[in-house]
Amino acid sequence: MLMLGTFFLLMLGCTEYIRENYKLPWIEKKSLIEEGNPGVGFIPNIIKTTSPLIWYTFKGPQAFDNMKYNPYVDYLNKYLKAYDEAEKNKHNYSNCENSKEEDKPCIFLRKHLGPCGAGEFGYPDKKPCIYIKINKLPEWVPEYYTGYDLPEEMPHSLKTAIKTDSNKKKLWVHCDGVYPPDSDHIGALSYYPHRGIMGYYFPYDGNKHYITPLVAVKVDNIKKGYAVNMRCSVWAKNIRYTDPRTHSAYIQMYLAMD
Amino acid sequence: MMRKSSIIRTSSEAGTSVTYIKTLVKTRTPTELDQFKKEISIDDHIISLKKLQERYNTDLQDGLSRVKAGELLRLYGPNCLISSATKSRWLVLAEFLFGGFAALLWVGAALSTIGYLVSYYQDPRTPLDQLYLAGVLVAVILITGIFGYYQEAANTSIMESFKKLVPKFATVIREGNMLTIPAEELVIGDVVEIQGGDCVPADIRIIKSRSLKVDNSSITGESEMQPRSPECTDTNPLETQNLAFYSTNVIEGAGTGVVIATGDNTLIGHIAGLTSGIEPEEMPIKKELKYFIKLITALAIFIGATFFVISIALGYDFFESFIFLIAIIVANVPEGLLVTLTACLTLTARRMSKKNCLVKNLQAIETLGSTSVICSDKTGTLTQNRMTVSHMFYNDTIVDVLDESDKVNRNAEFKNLCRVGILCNRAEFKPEQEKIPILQREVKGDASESAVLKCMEILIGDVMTQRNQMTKICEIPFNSTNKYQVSIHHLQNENKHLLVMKGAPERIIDRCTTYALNGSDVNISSEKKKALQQAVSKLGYMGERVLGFADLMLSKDKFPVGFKFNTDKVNFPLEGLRFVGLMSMIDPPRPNVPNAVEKCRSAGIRVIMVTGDHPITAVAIAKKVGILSSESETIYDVAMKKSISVSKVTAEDKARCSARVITGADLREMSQSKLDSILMTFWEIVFARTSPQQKLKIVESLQRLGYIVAVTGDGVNDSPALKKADIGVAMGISGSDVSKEAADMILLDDNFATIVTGIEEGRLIFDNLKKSIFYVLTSNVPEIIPFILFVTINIPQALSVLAILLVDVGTDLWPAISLAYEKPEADIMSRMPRDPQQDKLVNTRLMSLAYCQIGFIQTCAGYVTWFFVMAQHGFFYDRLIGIRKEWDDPFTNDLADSYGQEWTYEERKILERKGYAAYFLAIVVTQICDAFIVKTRRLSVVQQGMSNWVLNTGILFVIFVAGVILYSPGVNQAMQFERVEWYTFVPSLPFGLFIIIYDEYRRYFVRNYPNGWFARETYY
Repeated sequence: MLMLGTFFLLMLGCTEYIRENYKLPWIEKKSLIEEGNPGVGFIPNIIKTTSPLIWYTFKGPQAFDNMKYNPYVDYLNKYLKAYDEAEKNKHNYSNCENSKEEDKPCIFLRKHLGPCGAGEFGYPDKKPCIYIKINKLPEWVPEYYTGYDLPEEMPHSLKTAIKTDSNKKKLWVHCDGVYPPDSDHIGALSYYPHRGIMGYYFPYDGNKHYITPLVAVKVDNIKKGYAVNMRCSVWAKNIRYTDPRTHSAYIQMYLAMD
Repeated sequence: MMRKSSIIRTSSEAGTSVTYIKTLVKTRTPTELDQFKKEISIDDHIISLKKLQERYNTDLQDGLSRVKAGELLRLYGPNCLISSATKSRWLVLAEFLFGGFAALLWVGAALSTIGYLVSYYQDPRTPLDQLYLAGVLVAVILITGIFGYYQEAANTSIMESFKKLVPKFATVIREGNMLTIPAEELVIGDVVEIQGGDCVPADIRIIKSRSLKVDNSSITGESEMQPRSPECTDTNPLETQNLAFYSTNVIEGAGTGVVIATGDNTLIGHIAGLTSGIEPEEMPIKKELKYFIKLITALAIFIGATFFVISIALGYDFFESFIFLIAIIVANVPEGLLVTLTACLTLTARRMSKKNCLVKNLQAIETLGSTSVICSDKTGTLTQNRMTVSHMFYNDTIVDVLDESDKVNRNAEFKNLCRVGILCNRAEFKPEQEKIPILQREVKGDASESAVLKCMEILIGDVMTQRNQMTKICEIPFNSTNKYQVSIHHLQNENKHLLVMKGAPERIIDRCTTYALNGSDVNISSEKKKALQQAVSKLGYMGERVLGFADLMLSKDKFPVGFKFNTDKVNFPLEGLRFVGLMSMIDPPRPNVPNAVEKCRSAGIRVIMVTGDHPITAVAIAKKVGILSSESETIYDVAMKKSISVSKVTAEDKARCSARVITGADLREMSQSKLDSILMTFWEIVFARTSPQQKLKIVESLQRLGYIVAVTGDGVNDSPALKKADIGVAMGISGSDVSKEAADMILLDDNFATIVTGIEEGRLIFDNLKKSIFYVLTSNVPEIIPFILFVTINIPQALSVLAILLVDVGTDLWPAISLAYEKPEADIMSRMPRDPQQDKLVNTRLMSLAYCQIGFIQTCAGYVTWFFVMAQHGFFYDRLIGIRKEWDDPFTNDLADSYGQEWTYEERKILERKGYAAYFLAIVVTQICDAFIVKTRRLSVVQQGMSNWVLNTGILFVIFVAGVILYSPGVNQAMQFERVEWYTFVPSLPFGLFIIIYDEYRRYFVRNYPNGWFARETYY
């Protein structure tokens, strides 16, 4: 038993040693996943089913304005607190729009999100904001498109956006309806702060202050009374689309309100 | 299905045609069987013929009337043997599929199906793992069940072999006419004719006999011809000369008899009914398995219930907790064990059949190992079943010609004796046997004449030429009234006639006046006569059959060449002969039997002789083979010492005897408790003159005393005892079909010594099965714990159900089975037979060592390896504890690890499968180390050596299989594994080494302090 105990302590020591000496996992997750893509997620993802849903109503007892507080807004407020914290501790971050300092991750501020960073995030106005983020994946850096190497399957609107953007060092985000009717129903979308994540947020380096950059998508003009199937995808040269199940290249969700 | 009965119409010349019902199968009640177990007690052989005629309403001259016979046939049914209702083949198969261990597996399969259904009801996306498990369990049951069923030769053919014994037709006298009718149509009171070559068609009382001789071997086991005559010579129906029994063979002569019993009521009917109706004792290994199942079930339910309560307390709802309960119970079921057991036994069976030990019932192998007493038949098993001359008496000396034939003093007296032996002998060698050793040659003639012939061929040689030189002029053959045999020969070189006589020694001595002694003929004085008689009884007490020899040179004057000798009106002297000597013969023991009996003794196994032969012969053989040790004394020894007959031995002397000889007559009067107490008080016992029912009684008595009884026998008479015994052993060469059907094992070489080999194998397999079970059980622990931790401290699953199955019915199998090849650790034949009450196949010590110690270490190894892989990828143990809910939530796609790295559900599942692979690898590594420690229960592995190459290859095979499973693409996906780095097994190595070192120390203490704590608490 003594020996067993010794083994256990030894093993504990080993793990602690690994933890101390490796800032990042010993084995990169990239080696695990075939595509090597970071997973894509969205916020507020509250109703978790196989196809996530953002749904709220303005009728009946469950109506949005009747409720003391709204679960979506509440969730977002909580989620975005991390960015308020970051703002308070600015000294831990570098403002990468100018230059990146050693050991200080790039800051992401709530105000960058424009209308999606304040108030009730457009929910009472039936113009909700949805936030796209990608999973932290150490040492992963997107390979940027130059504008001349855009793939065939890229949506036309994104192509135009990329071509016209002066800063092409972005992980591009594109949202649209999954099927043509969805595209019709979804109406116009606007992206904050940019139509992608700025390249300087990559790679994730295991720094404990690292803050996840977001892209807010404001659904300005959704057709009411329909469940609209929306897909948001991220685009870079080193993102492939072979296996949709790994949640690594895009995310799909339903939007519904009346 | 067997038909229960059929309706048959007599079509024979019996006249009036009668329709009767023939019962084919009958369910016999225990009382009926008890009736069969009783000795037949009849007085049909004692009463006068007149009374007999009245009793059966028949006419001894003309037989029954046809009408009456028809009536009786319809009333009592046909004269045939009726099978006891045996278990149908389906029932036997069902027993294999649903009995014992299979039942446990069925429960496991059912539970896991229920578990699946319950969780499916809760969440239709439940993985199919539980169903796989159920499927594998069912497959294991079916495969091993059907295999076992085919291995066990069904006992349904016992009756068939009995039916081969009985005749088809009988010659009967009805209304004064001689008819040949199917033997089935015989009824009580029928007068039947029998003659040499026939088979007695029912139990009959002999009313007329013309030198009728029968072979009663199916009743007594002794294949000696017995004369039959109308006189009642004994009150015991088995001994009297005026009864002949159904199915016995008529060797020579002819006779007439009245049927006194038919069908089931005959003696053979009783034996057949008993044999087919007796339920054999439950195999000890079955009892062991039952005990084991009890243990493991109790353990499974205990662990399951504990965690059911814990999970309720932890706030799981009832259904979830119930699923946990089921999963834990099922995880305790050792899926591979049944396969391992069956395979181990089959391998041993194959090994044994190479050693001339054919096992009909796999489980009988182990029974042989736990045997504590052997009831051995004498003739054919212990002895060669071949009469051989062992002593000669001439010139006042007894000479042993069997063992010391080279020391024979070849003086004139010897030559005289041999001349008589050669001449007064009708036996002849069958032709074309020159190349066969003399003792094994086949001979035409009766047993004692052949013995003399062979003895002469060995001592003198060329018997036939000498016989031809001294041509036989005439002879009077042996008959039971004269008890001698005479022939007259012409001596060419002397041109004289020589009269030679052989026969019962007393009769021969009476007819002699002179005695060849020291080169001259001396007159036989009354003292000399006494001395000669003493020599006869001395040989008799050696259990030998004695023949006297005499000759007389006929004078040339009275009996010139060409003299017409008349054997009907004897015109030559038959008295006043010259006594030349004695020869005595015995059926000698097989050469290696004494050695085997000695081995049995040192292995703590009692050997009891149970024979149908005479007590004196039985005692003599028992002494020769060591069943009665040389220092022990029986009443026969006392009688011989004091030169008195056995009946005159005083009670005081009887009480001093250290060994008992019990005859059938003694047994008849003995109560059950008396028999029990004799069997308990006397270690050395010989039963002689026993009937089939008595053999059964002895076996039952021994079993009541807690012995595990092996019975050996070759005859029909042994079959009830063979069936009842814990293990019945029949003889392959000399054994009757019936005995082979009733037995569990067959000795292909008829040799008692082979049983000892069998016992050795049986004991070895018991030891080795313990090891196999230990090996299989150990890996249960690292398989259960992940599940428990999953529930209690909410860490992700470390091992999948599929991986558990891979270990249990995959990598564990070969090493577990190969332990059957492990050589014994010490001389297993020098220890006592195991005590079925104390020495269990699986005991709590084995369980606690396997579960709490080695299994626990394996679990540690598994988790350390698993944590190692998890940490490699970013999840440290502190992050893992309590993570389960989020981990298993398919919609949490950004679960952060210890580094903040975020994981989608699918990515986590890939990592989980890597974890399975790591944990699996750790189990494989530690199980390999486990294989090193289970090789021995007491010795160090260094002492035992690694010479079990089946195990060694098995270990290599396991490594290979693990490699293929983990690293070949496709296969690993199918088995729910992911590739792990090759060095992943390293963290489990120290634990493996620890297992080996730990257990070496444990066994060191067990070895050196046999009464110490380690031996008491951990020696399994």
